[in-house]
Amino acid sequence: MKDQKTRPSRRSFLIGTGTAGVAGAAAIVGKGALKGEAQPAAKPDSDGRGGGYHVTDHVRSYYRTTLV
Amino acid sequence: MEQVLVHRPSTASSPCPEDLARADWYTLIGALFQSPPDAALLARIASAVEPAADAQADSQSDLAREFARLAGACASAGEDAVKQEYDTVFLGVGRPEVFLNASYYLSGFLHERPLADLREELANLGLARREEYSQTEDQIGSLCEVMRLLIVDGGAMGAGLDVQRAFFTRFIAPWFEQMCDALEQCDSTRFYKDVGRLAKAFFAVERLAFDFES
Repeated sequence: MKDQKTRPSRRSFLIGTGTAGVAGAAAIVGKGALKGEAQPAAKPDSDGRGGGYHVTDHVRSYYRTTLV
Repeated sequence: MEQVLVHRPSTASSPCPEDLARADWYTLIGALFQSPPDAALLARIASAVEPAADAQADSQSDLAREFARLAGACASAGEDAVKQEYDTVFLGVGRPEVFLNASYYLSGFLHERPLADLREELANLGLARREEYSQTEDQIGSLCEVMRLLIVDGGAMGAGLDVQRAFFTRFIAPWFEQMCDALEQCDSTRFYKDVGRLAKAFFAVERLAFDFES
């Protein structure tokens, strides 16, 4: 698979549209505070991720062999 | 099924700051649709935008403007009222006033072919729903979470921007405007009108941003 780099034009577009800026979701979501409060049913799995999804065993083993 | 993705070498680099910001928007918007925000989250959104931002509305992007509007709504919204609105609109007895599910907008019914297609795609991506998680996979909050995962963990999953684009184009782009418009037109929505406008503005940016790589 090609490693698709984010081109400057796309990054500029995201900044210009306010996606990435001073005030935005990052101010709320940052530090992972949101996940625990807004999704009480979600528990981090062994990989430390919260939310309603987890990676299946097949993929988790992939994580372990490549990231640890 | 052959899990092609897991055999790909992890060549993708860490997400750039702009992509991490996208992930944060997906987290926030997804959370607001997955369950009604509690008082703490309402307060945090309300305090995320400076009051002066309203005065500069003309020069703001749609996303910034809608975010400021939602922040204003959060400042005056009560946790109980928002929860009641959420329950009334999305969990109504019998038929919800507004559906949040891809299958409904793509096929006219819940639990139809689009949901099956989505589950197949999630299996390909190596994602499975947690047992305790009550929303179906095609609920907009669930789809936002998949997008967040693809952005944040995409490198490790062998999923680059092309995979994000394909997922968004197939499972969110065709129907988000219908859903947001339904929220706007619903007689029972107040807080979620603002949530819908923010979601519409953000997804519109996403759709355009993906074109940069096409």
